[in-house]
Amino acid sequence: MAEIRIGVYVCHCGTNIAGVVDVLKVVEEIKKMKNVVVCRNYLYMCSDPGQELIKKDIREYNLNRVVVASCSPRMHEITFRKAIKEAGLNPYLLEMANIREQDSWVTEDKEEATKKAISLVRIAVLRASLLEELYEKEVKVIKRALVIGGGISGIQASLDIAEAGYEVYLVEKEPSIGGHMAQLEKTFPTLDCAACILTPKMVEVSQNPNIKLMTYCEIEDISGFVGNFKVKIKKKAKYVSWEKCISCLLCQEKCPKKVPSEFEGSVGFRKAIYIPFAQAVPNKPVIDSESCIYFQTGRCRVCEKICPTKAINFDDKEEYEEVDFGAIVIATGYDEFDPRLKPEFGYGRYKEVLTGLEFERILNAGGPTFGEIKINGKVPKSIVFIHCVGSRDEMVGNPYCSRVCCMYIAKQAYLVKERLPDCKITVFYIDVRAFGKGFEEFYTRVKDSGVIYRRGSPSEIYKRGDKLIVRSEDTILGEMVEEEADLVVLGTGLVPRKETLELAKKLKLSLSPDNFLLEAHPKLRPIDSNIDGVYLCGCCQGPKDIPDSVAQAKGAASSVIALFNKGVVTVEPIQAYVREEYCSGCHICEGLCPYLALEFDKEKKVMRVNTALCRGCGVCPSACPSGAIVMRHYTDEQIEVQIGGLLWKE
Amino acid sequence: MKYLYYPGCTLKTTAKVFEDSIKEVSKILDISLVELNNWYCCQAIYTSLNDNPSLLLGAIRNLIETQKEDDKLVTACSACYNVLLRSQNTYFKDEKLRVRINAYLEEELKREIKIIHFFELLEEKIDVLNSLIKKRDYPPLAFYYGCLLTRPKGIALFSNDINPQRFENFFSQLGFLTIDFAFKTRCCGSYLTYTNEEIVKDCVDKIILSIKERVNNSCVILTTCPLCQFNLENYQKDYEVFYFTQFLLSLIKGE
Amino acid sequence: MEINILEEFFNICDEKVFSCINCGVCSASCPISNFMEITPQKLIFFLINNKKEVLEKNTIWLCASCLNCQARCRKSIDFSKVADALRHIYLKERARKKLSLELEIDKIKREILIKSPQQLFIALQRKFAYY
Repeated sequence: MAEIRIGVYVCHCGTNIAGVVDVLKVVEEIKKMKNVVVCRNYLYMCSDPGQELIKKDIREYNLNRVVVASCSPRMHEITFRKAIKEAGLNPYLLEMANIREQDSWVTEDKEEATKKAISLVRIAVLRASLLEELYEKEVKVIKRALVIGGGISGIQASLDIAEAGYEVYLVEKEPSIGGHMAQLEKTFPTLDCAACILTPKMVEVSQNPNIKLMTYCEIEDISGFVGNFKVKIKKKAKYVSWEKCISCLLCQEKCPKKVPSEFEGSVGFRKAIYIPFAQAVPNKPVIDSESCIYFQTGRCRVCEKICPTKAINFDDKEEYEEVDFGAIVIATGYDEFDPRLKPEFGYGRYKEVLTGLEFERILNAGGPTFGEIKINGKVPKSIVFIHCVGSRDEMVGNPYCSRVCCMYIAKQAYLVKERLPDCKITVFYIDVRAFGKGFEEFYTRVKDSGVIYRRGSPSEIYKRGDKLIVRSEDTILGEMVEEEADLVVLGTGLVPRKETLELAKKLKLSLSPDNFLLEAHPKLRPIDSNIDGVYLCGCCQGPKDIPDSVAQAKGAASSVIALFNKGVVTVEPIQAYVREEYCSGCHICEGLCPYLALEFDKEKKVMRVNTALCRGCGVCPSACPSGAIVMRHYTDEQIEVQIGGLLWKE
Repeated sequence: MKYLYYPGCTLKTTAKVFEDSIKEVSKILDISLVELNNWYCCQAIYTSLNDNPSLLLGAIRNLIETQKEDDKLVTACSACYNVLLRSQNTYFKDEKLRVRINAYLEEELKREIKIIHFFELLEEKIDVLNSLIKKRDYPPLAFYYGCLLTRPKGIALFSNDINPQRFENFFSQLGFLTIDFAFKTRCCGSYLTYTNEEIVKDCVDKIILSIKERVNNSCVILTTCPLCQFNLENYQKDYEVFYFTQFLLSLIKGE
Repeated sequence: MEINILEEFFNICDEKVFSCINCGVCSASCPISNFMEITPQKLIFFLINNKKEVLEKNTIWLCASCLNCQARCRKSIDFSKVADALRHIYLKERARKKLSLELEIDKIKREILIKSPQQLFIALQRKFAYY
């Protein structure tokens, strides 16, 4: 074996590390260690001159191992691997010691921090001498993308990927694409009609030959890895043959059963056989078997009799389709906060209290009142809007700001003022966050129009006679207000979807503390998820408005396109392998592997690791009773020497 | 069933009618209530300050008495229910304070005591009650919950602190009309009756007004709390006010 | 009184008053805030600005701990505990200066005193007593 020659580089990270850790002391201590040929410190190791320093030393001192003591490997491991590779070393001969996140940022005592840094660097050096060369493999990427969720984000991502010439499956759980944007009347701050800008995109999706639109479908199962995901899609039973259906919608007209509509909220109804809204894409109905009279009582079948093309099929069953994908875009969107969790606002108790989306439907020309602002058949004389319902509220577990409510309330108040100039409009707010392009200007315009903004968070809504009373403090006047209203609109916030949480479990996606999906890095990788090849866009990652969602969708699409253009992915060689001579074929590891990467070799009667599937999680080597499975790059010896180093005392 | 029972000071004195009705109803329903040994004041209000562990001592001592015999304790006074529950909660949650409280005690509170409101026992016996009730032609019932049973969230007897429905459900299952009024969990003014009578009058006025909104003619107000009972009786004359057990008893007796 | 009110406050109370966003939901939910010299929301604002005038306001004596505000507070601040602590600071100061306590039992109406539940009276005394 060749002589081990290690170079150690301790980073100051400006004052991030050097402000707490005595870097020079660390260098001095580490220099004394065996095999350490050179040990240096530098202001920013990740900078160009920092990397040059390492490369120069590798050539000059003939180094064959490199230790960098700086930030988390999640931050810069790839940077330094690339650097030593350029200097001719195998990239896996690099070891990092994290003396920032795990030391200087979390230790106040300077002496303790320095001691800890020395230990961390020391064990990194010990481990470095045992590192082995490893070689990356390339795997082909399946050039087909899956987009989950057919709201504006999913639609945009699908269109962009399809435009680049790649095949896209767009899976949506509702009978139509469009998402929440299809429910909106106008969009802030420009007052563009939501339908006018959305419906052309929906039609584009249905006409693009590269997009396979799968509405009324759900994701049953996902496995695999970047470039090669295996996905099982459930097609829910529609009870209507969409091939035969000519969208005459006679069935919807004649169906005798009315149920509350998901699309209209509590203000509108749909039939048991229905399309969610008039501009639905595809414009084909489904039967909701839970409310259908025939499914509940065995009689009716009116739709079947009336259908001119015999498209109704009560025997329809759910089906499954398994498809392979190279990349996945998650665009599952959000749910509206359920204001029943704030009983003081009386939602559900008083029918004059509406959520933001419900009022959006009242304003919409295609809504249940055809755009006339009416409640209980009467035109309201006074309307109260309430900010921050279900947002910025620890009591309901949503400490975050939902970002869109301030502006959608401003927009709704403005639309009311336009149509009912005599209506008294009062908005109760805590802070108005008009942070986007044109938002502050719009907010000023709304205030100029005569909408009254009062600062205060209402505590209660109750009825006196046929009027609602909204009780609040006006914190600027410092007085109690009991505002009468014919209609109260709650500025309901955005919450993560339950279905998204299930999906996150299936895909092992990380969640942020607020239960939205977590991006790989809040600043530099806002679209990537923690799983390679899975990208996030729209409100599944956090509340955002339409332009932000579209921007993210375009970002996600370009990430997918870049991946497909390259056509291959490198698989990290940090994987398990089986030492056949020790394996007894007991199968214990097989059931534990979360990636189904372990197979039994029937001829040799030993287990074998499928290198295309293994993700190097380390479960199997720790479970193997005979120590037959070894984790490359994290062998028992490499870990033991680190533990020994930590326990070692002078 | 046999239960340990904590009456509290008020039920022994000014709210004697409440305790008498509880005792009679439980006898009829075959619930045996055994008074806790050596019980004393629960301390009337829950106060917790970091520098003063003695503020919780009264409640905790009662619970220590309880743990000698059982792990359940029944009480009917809203204030006792609230103070016992919150004190116990703080005792088990705040480790630092617990150590300091224990310094005053001969014995520790070892496990959580399940504190039961007498109403919960009645809920279990609703079928028996239904068969016993003789008189049902009563004006509608307005159940005034007050604050002590409804808050704080998470500890309280009801999950909804603005519009709880538990008593309404109970009485409508017994065949009575109930009224949903806006201020059923609003404070009655409590002890401010001594120092600021006008405030309590104002509080009671608003509660009564919110009942009047929903009632055409007469109604009966029911309470669970001696404090609410006193303020509602003392500061309005429009409606009759009864403890809920007192009312149940009169139904059973057919009076 | 020559005291640092904030310091005294944090010595005996953990409520996170600095996280208050002054939304006023406490004042609005308080059934008796219209009798208060300053509303609960303002009181907290005075407190975090270290204004010892808070001790002179009737607000701290009127809070009857009904917890209506605690159930609404977006930042889970329990105002009743804030009032408890401020009362306590006030009473401690008076006791230190050997001043008599505020409560004058003679002034309570006799007919109320006789009829009222004794729990009420104990509660009142506990609010006005310094331990």
